[in-house]
Amino acid sequence: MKNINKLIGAAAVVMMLAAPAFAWNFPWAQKAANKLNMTGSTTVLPIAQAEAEAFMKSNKEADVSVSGGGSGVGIAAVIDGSTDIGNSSRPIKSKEIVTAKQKGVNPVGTIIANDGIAVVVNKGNKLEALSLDQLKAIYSGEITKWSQLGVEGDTIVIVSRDTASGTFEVFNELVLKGAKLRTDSLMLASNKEVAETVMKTPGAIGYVGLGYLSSDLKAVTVNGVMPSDSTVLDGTYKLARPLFMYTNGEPSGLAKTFIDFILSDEGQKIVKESGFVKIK
Amino acid sequence: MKKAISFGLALAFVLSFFVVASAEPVSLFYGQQWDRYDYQVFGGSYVAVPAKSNNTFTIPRTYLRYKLTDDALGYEGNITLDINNVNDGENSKITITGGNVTAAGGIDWAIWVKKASVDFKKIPILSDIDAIIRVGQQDVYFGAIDTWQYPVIEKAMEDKNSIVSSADQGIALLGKIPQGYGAYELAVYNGSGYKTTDNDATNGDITDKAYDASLLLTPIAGIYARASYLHKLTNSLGTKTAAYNASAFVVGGASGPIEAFVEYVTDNAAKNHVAGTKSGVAVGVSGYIGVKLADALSVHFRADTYNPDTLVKLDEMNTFIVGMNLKLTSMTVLQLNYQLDKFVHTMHGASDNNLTNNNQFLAQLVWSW
Repeated sequence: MKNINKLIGAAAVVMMLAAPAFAWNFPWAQKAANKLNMTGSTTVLPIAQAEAEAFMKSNKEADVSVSGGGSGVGIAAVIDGSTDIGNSSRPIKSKEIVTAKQKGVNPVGTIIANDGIAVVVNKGNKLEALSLDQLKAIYSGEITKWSQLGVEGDTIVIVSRDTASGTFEVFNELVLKGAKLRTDSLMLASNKEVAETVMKTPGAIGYVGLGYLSSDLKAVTVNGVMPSDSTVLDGTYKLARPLFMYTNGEPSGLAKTFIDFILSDEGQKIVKESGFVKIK
Repeated sequence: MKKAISFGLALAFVLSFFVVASAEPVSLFYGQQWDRYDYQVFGGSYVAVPAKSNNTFTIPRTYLRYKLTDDALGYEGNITLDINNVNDGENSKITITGGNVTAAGGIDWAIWVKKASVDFKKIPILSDIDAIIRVGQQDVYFGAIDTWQYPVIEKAMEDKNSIVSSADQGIALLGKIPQGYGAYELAVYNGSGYKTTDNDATNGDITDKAYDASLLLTPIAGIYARASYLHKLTNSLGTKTAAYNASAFVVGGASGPIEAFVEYVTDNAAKNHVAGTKSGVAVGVSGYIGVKLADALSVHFRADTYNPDTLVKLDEMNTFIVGMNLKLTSMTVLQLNYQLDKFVHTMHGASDNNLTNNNQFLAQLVWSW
């Protein structure tokens, strides 16, 4: 019995020591109505941050916190109940739905924007069109000279986003499809850097979010379709994907107010300003 | 020597992934360790035996895991090395019997390759129906054994009572039902489990495989049901014709902070088979409920009843567990359990000293990285 008492005593001491180390957020406690957490996709992150800032300006009481981690993290956080909104640059997987249902969670996704990628070359380049297969061949190093594409020029300078970026993720998934990127590719940290490098380098090819297209760059058609908001929206332009915010059940409370704000004209203007494509 | 060979093979397997890693895959090295304190008090003997207790610190599991994923190429390799005190530390316990202290002979460590498998995720036709092929040493998809996340320290009922092995070597088709309405698994294994080689050529066991099918349905959020069936031929009785069949049915649910399930398991292997008598079947029922009280605190209850042979009277074993899990940091959880194993009869024989109760007070620190 002595030993049992010691064990219980030891457990009590551990609990007391551990208590300050974490927040005792009781699930049945009333959650502050003005607090909203979201986490997940790094692609969605800049939209979420810009929207949160604008939302808090017009809703002074609201306290919106945003973090990244990746789409898988966002969806997992919705499933385990640790976030209000899980941001994702891909649709939820069947496996995740099954896990969610087993835990009594009903994940509902709302498309809040579209992510479109334009393939760009230097303004002096005569290239007008590429197929997805040609694009893959260029970026994997099978095609290395502009002459192989029937245009003037020597070696193709490959400009890419770094592998940590969401834009690279899309490009890898939709274009490379498992092929390795040419080893001498320039890996740049932002859309802006890619755009500037292609502008300054005659033999360069790069890809940027649609929001970064300008008259200083030349966009080429992919599979015969020119990138634009309308071709992304009607689905004819293939280098695009929808971006989601997932909630447990239909959005409600502050999450609904926030998502409604993103879907509003004001919110969609922010989507556009962030370099993405509006949903309508 | 055997252990050294196993470890060498496992290491080679891991290193081979580093070579393949040049194809821009994502690799992850992670794992978990269980540090356990176990205070056992045996009691309620049918015959006069001295009081007996154990009081031991053990490391029942150290899982070293490596995962290599390449979504573009559509494969994922997994390896799990399990380093532990053999038999959950039973061989290294300090036992007090009738006032006499007995220390076990020495610390006995083992290294097992618990899992070593590769998933092929982009096989034509299969990828269209959200299915993959998994090749190698992997989970046995049965009842709750492959989904049990150890909310209490005890193993799942089918693991505790050796109804099926928790891992085996083979090949499996793992699929999802469209729209997230469930999942299914079809597998062929050696049937001998991951700790036993399937090398009994004399009796033909090497050619006899285990066949496993499991179906999980998730009709609505919060409710699920799973049915599993495993069939194999075994030569445990000296012939290759003895068929072993096991079935499991699980119904579970979750709502807010509460999770629960009930499992029914049956198999036709008579664990308490008495020579010259007819054997029945084994039947077990396990019920579990867990309640999350706070982000870092949850309580858990489990009750099992297991009858190893329905034609043998008074041979049931009942288990009651109450536990509390305290998340100390994001990577460490302290589990405190009280577990009572109550044996109804005297058939456990000399190995159990005819005891009727085994009271266990367990504290376990789970460290994940």
